[in-house]
Amino acid sequence: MRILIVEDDNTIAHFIEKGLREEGFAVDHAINGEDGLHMVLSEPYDAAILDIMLPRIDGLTVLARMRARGATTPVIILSAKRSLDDRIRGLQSGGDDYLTKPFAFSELVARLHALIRRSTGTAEPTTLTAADLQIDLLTRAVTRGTDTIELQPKEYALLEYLMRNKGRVVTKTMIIEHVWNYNFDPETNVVEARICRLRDKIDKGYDPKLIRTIRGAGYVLKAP
Amino acid sequence: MFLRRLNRLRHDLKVKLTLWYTGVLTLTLLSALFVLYSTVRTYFENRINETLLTEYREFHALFQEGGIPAIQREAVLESESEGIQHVFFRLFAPDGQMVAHSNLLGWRGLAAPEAPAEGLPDGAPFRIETILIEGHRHHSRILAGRLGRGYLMQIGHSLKAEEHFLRDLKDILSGFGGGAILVGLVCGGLISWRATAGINEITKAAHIITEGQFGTRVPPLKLKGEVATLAVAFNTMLDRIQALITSMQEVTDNIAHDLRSPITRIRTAAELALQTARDPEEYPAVMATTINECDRLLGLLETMLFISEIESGIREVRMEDVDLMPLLEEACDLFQPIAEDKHIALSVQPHSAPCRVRGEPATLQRMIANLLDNALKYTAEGGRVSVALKAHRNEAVLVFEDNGIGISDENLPRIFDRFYRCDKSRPQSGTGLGLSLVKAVVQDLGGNIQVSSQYGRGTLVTVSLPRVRNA
Repeated sequence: MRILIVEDDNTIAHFIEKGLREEGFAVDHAINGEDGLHMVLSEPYDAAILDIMLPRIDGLTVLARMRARGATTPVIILSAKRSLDDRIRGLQSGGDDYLTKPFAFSELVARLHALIRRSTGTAEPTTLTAADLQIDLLTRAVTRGTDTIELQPKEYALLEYLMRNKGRVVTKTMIIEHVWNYNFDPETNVVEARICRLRDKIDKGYDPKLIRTIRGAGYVLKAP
Repeated sequence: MFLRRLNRLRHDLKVKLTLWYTGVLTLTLLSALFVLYSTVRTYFENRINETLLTEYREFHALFQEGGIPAIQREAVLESESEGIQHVFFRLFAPDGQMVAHSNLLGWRGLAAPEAPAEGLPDGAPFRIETILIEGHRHHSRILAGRLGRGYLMQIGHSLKAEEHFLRDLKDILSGFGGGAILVGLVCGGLISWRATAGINEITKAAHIITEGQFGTRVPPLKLKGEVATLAVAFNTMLDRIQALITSMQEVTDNIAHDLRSPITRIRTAAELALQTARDPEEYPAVMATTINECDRLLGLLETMLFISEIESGIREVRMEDVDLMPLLEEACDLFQPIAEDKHIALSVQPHSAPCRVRGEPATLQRMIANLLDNALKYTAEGGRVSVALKAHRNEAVLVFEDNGIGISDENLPRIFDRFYRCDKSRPQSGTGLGLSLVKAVVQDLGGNIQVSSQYGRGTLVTVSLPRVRNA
C-alpha cells in the first residue's frame, strides 16, 4: 500500500516514513503543499497524511483543491492545531480523520489501516481469530481452543478492539477512547487493570500468550 | 512657570469645585439682593408719585375755587409744613409768568418750565419726571400739571431722603453680599479639600504600587462617605490582585517543578543509557521510561490548558443536555477493576429517572472520573467508596463518599489549588490538578462543590449542578 506524507518538518516526516516502511507501507514524502498536491493528483495513493501548516499552499487548501479535482484518496490530517474548530474545519475541507501532534505512532498506523479498510470497502468479517482464540462478532461468543470464555461487556469490547488491530500496538489512550469513549487518560491506570483481568481469562493457562505489553507504547495482541 | 502652575490649578478638582460652588453662590445671592433693591426702589417711586398726584388734585380743586391767591396761600403753608427744602410749588400763567410759589430758598437753580402748558404731551393733564437740578446733589421728582385756563402747576419733591436710604441699603447689601461670597469661597474650599483629601491618598497609594510595592494600601480614612467606600474598594481590589499574583507565582513555581522533574528523569535515563555499552535488553526500558514521562508531561500540559481555558471562558464547547446516570455508571465500570484490586467496595446508588444537566459530556466524564479516581486513590485496601446521584428540585447532586484517609483541617482549604498535593512525599501520585479541574468545571456550569472530611475517617464530596427540567 502506498502512502503519501505531506509534511514540512523533515524530522517528523523521516520518523513517520521509517515507521510506516517497517509496517510494510510504501511511502513518498512531499515537503510543501504544492508538491503534495501535484503528487496526490498524479499518483494512486491508498492514503495521504497531511500537515496543515505547510509552505506555499497550506494543508486545507491542498485538501480543498484535490477534492475539487475529484481525488478521493483518504486523508488523515496531522496537525498541532487542536481546537474543536480546527478539527471541524479540517473534516469539512475533505479530511477523513484528524490526529493532533504529538501523537502515538501506533495510533497513526491503526487509523491508517482503518481508513484504508473503509475506503476499499473490505467486507466486514464475522469472526476474528488469533492462534486458537476466536471471537464471533455476531454472537459475541469467545472461544479459546475448545473452551468457551465468559467476558464482561467491556472486556469483550476491549478484546474485540485488540483483535481488530491484531499484530499492531494500541496505546492506552486509544483503548480508553474506543472502549469507554473517554477522550482523556485518568491519572490511575485503569486500562492496565482491565488488561490484567482480560489476560486472566484468555491467556491464563493457555499457550501461546496472546496479549503482550509493549513497555512505553501500549499493548499488542499477537499470535506468534 | 507661573502660567503652567496656573494651568494645572485650573484642572485641579479642588479648585474647580471651589470655584463652581462660589460662582453659583454669588450668582444666587446677587440676584436675590438685586430683586430686593429694585423692589424697595419701585416702592419709593410709587409712593412719591402718589403724593405728587394727591397734591396736584388738591391744587386743581383749590384753583377752581379760590384762584391764584388760594394757591399762593396753600403753597406757602404746605411747603412749610413739609419743609421748604423738601418740597416746592410754583404756578405759571399762560404767558410763562410765575404767579404764585412757595418758599424757593432751597431750590436755587430751578429753571422755569419751557413752553408751560403746551409742554405736556398730547394734551395729557400732567407729566411726572425725575431731574437733577443744577448745583444739587440729589434728584428731584417733579410734576407739571394743567389747572385750567392755560395755568400750569409745578410740584417738586426732593428725593434726598429716598436716595440716602437707597444708598445705605446698597452699602449694607453689598457688604453683606461680599461677606457671604467670601465665606462661601472659604467654605467651598474647605468642603472640596475634605472631599478630595481621600482621593489624593488613593492616588498616592496607586503611584507607590505602580512603582512595584504591592504591599501598599490606602491608610484607613477618618472621612466617611463615598471616598471612604472608594478607598475600601480600592484596598479590596489590591488584596485580590495580590492574592492572584501570589497564587500565580506559586503556580509558576509548581509548573516549573512539575515540568522539571519529568524532564530530569528523561534526561538522566537517556544519559545513563548512553554512558556505557549496555545489554540490548536494557534499552527498551529506557525508551519506555522516556515515552511514559513524555506522556505524563503532555497530560500535565493538556490538563493545565484545559483548566485555564475553562476558567478564562475561552473554551469552545458544544453544550447539550446530558443524563448523569449513564456517565456515572460508565465511570464506575471503568474504575471497577482498580477498586477490586484494592478490595474496595465500590457501589453506585442509582437514580431511576433521567437526571439531566446542561454541559459537555466529555467534560462531565472527566469531572466524575477525577472525583472517583481521588476517592479510590485515598481509600485504603478493604475500604468502601459509594457514589450516588440525587435529583433535587433544581439541582442534580452527585455524592462521592469514602471511608479513606481523609483530609486534615490544614490541607482542606487548599485542596482546590493547582498542583496542591496533601502528601508532598508522593509527588508521583498524580498531577495535583484533579480537583482544580473539577472545581473549574463545576463553576463553569454554574454549580457548586463541597468537600467535608474527617482526617483518618473519610471524605464526602458533594457536587451540585443546575438541573435541566422536563427536557
